[in-house]
Amino acid sequence: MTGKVLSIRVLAMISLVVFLMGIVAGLLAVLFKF
Amino acid sequence: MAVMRLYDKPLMPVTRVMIILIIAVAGLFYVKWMPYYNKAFLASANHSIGKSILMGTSAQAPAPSWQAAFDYALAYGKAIWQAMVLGLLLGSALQEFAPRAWIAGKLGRANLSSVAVGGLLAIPGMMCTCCAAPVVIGLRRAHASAAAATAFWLGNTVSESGGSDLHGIRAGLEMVGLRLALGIPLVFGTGYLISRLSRLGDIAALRTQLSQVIAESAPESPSIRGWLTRFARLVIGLIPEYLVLVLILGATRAWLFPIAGPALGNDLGWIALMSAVGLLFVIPTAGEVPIVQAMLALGVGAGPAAALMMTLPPSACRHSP
Repeated sequence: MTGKVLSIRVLAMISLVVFLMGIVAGLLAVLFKF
Repeated sequence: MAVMRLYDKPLMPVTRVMIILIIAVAGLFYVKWMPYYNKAFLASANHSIGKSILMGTSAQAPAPSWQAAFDYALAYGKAIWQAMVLGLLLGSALQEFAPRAWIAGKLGRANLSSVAVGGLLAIPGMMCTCCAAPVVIGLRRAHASAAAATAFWLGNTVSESGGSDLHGIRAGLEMVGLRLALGIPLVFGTGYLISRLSRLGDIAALRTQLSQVIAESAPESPSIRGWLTRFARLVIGLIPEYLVLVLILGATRAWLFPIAGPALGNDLGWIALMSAVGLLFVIPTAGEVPIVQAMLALGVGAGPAAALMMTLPPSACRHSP
């Protein structure tokens, strides 16, 4: 059912934002010395 | 004969809404809220909520093999099956019984209001992406917009991870704060971004579709038979796909997580790589907590660990509805 109810463009956008958020989380963890 | 008549009988709107609410509240109480409540005490007492599903107690994931694939699929299936059944029941009930005019009005627009409703509805759900996916399908087929459905989908994983007890993990409280601080803009920001990216033509078409849906919503005759048919279709459409994905990822987890030690330091490259790996991999609800706990104990840097903690729950690429 992949891609049947959410378009590939939307799925790509979600993946990109989550990926970037992961990088931001990692950098913040380093910056604040977790 | 009486059973057959009940099976095919068109249900009243109040009965339909009651069925959805009972499944949602009773199901979430049994599958999510009660186990989470108990898990909080477990974490508080043991400073852990279990072994890492990725590598157990060893320092490395098992080498790629059929056995590794089967073991991971079994562990994953045991962890998620109840939530998956709930997701399938709720998703099919939404398709059959949801008040479409109400959903189209509240969740069907490509604007911030629909995104906000979608994100807020997700908060009590706390489902992993795979279990939330049937519900997202149900919402989309009941005419929720892509933006609102995305907010609902991501909101489930973020509320799941926000509610995870990180007691006992190094910098556990900071990790919770980080996930909430980034999770809220992730849910509402992504939904809003998708609504803004919709072309003007799409929005005009959506408005026309919305008016048609409201006009056509009265003459439906949803029944228990229709619900069970939709449930069977969801099972056939989703479960084999999930099974194949989980087997592949279970077999290849040693390639995705080749090292877990001090060599996995705080460089930008490792952070970006772990962010990407977290996006690809699938885990059960709160499964990222013992994974990251085990990695930190083995000396992995806080940066890659935080990236994994952020991207493992939404794992958007894999379990896309």
